[in-house]
Amino acid sequence: MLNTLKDLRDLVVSLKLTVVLLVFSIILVLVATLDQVNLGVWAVQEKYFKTFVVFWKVGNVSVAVFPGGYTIGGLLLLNLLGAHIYRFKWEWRKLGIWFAHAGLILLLIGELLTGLMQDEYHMRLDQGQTKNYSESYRNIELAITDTTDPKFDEVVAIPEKPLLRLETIQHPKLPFRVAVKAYFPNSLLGMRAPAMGAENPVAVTQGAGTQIVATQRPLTYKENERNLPSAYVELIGPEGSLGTWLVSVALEDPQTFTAGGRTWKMALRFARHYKPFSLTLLKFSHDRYAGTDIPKNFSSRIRLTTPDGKDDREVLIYMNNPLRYAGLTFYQAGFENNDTTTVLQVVRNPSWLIPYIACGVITFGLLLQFGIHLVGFVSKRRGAA
Amino acid sequence: MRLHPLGLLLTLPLLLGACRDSKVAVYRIPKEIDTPVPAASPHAGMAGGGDMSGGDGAVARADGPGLSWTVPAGWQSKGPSGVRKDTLVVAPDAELAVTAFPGDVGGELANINRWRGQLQVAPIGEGELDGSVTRLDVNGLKVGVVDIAGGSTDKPARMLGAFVPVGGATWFFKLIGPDTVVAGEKAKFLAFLQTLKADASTAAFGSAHGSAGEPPPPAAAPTAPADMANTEVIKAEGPGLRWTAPAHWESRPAAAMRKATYAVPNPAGAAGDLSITAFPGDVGGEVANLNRWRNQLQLPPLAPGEVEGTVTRLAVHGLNLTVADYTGGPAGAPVRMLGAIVPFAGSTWFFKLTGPVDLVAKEKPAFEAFLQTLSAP
Repeated sequence: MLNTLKDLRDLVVSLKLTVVLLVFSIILVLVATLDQVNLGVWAVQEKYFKTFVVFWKVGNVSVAVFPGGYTIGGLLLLNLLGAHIYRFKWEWRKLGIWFAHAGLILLLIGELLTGLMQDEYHMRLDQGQTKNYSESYRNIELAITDTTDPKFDEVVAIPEKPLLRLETIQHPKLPFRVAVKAYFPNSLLGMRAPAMGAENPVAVTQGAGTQIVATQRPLTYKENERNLPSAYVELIGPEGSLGTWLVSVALEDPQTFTAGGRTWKMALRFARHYKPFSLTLLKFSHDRYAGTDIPKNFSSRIRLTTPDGKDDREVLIYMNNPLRYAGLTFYQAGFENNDTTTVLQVVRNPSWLIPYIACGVITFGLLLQFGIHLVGFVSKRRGAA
Repeated sequence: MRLHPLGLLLTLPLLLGACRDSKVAVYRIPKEIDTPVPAASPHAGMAGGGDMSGGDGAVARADGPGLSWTVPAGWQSKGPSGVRKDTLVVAPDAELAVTAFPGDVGGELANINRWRGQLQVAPIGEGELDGSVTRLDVNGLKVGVVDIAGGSTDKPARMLGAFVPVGGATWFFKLIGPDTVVAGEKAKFLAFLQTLKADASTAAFGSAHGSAGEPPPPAAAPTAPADMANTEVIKAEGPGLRWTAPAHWESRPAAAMRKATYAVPNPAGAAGDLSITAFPGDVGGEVANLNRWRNQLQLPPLAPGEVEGTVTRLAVHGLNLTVADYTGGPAGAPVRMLGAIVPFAGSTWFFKLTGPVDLVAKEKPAFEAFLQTLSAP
């Protein structure tokens, strides 16, 4: 038993493990880069790096084929920490190496935290438009909004998971249950053929779905395409069913209905993240090199306001010059509609400072180490002379 | 079992991460007024070439037959490059670029405003269009010419632009440079435009909608019968297609998702239904859309290679139409469908007439004539 533990310890602290893990990471990065052609950046990150095990589909069966990014990164961290603890011997001559490795450990932890905690949204603003929310690129929510109060709207946002599991959702804020009859992670809307009607698996009795039908499509991972989910939901009140609706990200407007003496709006949409401040696009500029159509610069002149009036200022966002405010970073990401709409990428990453600190610590450690060696070398030469 | 502190350290963030996004959220927001936002398109984010990589976003080049011209003395041709059909060096700091793209590239107004934007001049409205375009008739070609002065105050620039619709494509001639240089070349530019000629093959081909290898489109459908109502119906916010519906079709209120609905009366039974819808992007592509229709009629799907035999391709006022005619449905009550798919300005428009077989057969000429009235604004 003791021997097995010793063997395990020797393995954890060994340089061989480091080399093997580095080789594994090289293979992982190579394969993931090649697979990016099929899946796109986001799906590749999820499949190869933000996972413990990489699965490949063989027919209909998922087979574990390779350790994922979390496993390799975690073991590297363990290896590094283990080796340091096991071989620790205080020596001021090695202080620089200690700092460099501490920086490396911080970098690995920072990357793990970024992977787990970073949120990415986007905000589309037409010129003159004001918004106080950003939207997710991929996450979906079923938003049921009580619009009865003249002063505010109350939103109940149901995330995608219960929809996918076709759950029946009961919430204290809703005077009805939401029964998910069908959920298509990617779908295509079409008109219901007048002579047909029974082709649809779910009979829709309310709203746009009485004329439109959603058909399931395979999920797309292409960079220039997005999945458009749709769902059939039945609302069930204390007196019985209120009807079945088709909701879809591809439908433009929320569908309105009354229940429990209140007025409601329902929409399937990309998840929104509301903010305690609002942004107005004053002007989007797209400069080109004179006489050509080659883009030179993109910038959005934004007005940032808070309801309490504490902040009311203009900000210029352009490439590599994002707006950092309230823990969020707004990057210039794109534009639409003949240069009158701007698309800002909104990133929340509480651990964004860690890589900068880690790089600083590594640089300091390396400089210190080289400095110590240089001083030693110079004094040795002086002594010899 | 004792949990090692290191293990705890490693698993804690994972546990934290697992809790996210699985709870129903409730929050209050200030009263929202629903603004008509464009529906999500299956094409990620950057509709209309809005990514950071390209200027105009137009990547499709019009291939096939086109225009020919004579280069004036003093100008030098650099030949085709990239998306340019030709580049003529007018002066050391002024160039004339010749490009051609399929379709109308968003229409005259959009193109002129794009040019005005490049010279930092405010866009014009529909009403000001006629005042700012000089129309020329050159060897049977309809040439529109604009003269835009702009740029910064210390570096005034000028652009002489001409656009020429030729067989389903639009050709652009753009001379841009310092104000004084371009103004001095204006007479020569106008003389140059007078040398434009459609290639002999263009006239015979009639459309640049496909590559030269494709068969020419079928003979034109019958011209609009006399009973066409003259009321023009314009649907859709922003740029939309226009059409004239036959007088005997009854316009119905446009329901959700539909740009327009017409009931086609049938004295012998159930009425036919003509629906007009438009969705952003290519909605999955031509084959997927045709197969969706076939599925509605309980017909087996077609492989991409089989589509050609079942559709007719038409070019109408610069628009490329794919017309399908399918009969299917349940054995007891067969249904026939005439459908047209029309890509236009980044969206796809669908015109679909469905109804009993006899009615649709009778209405086919009217439907074809109706398609011939389609035009871009």
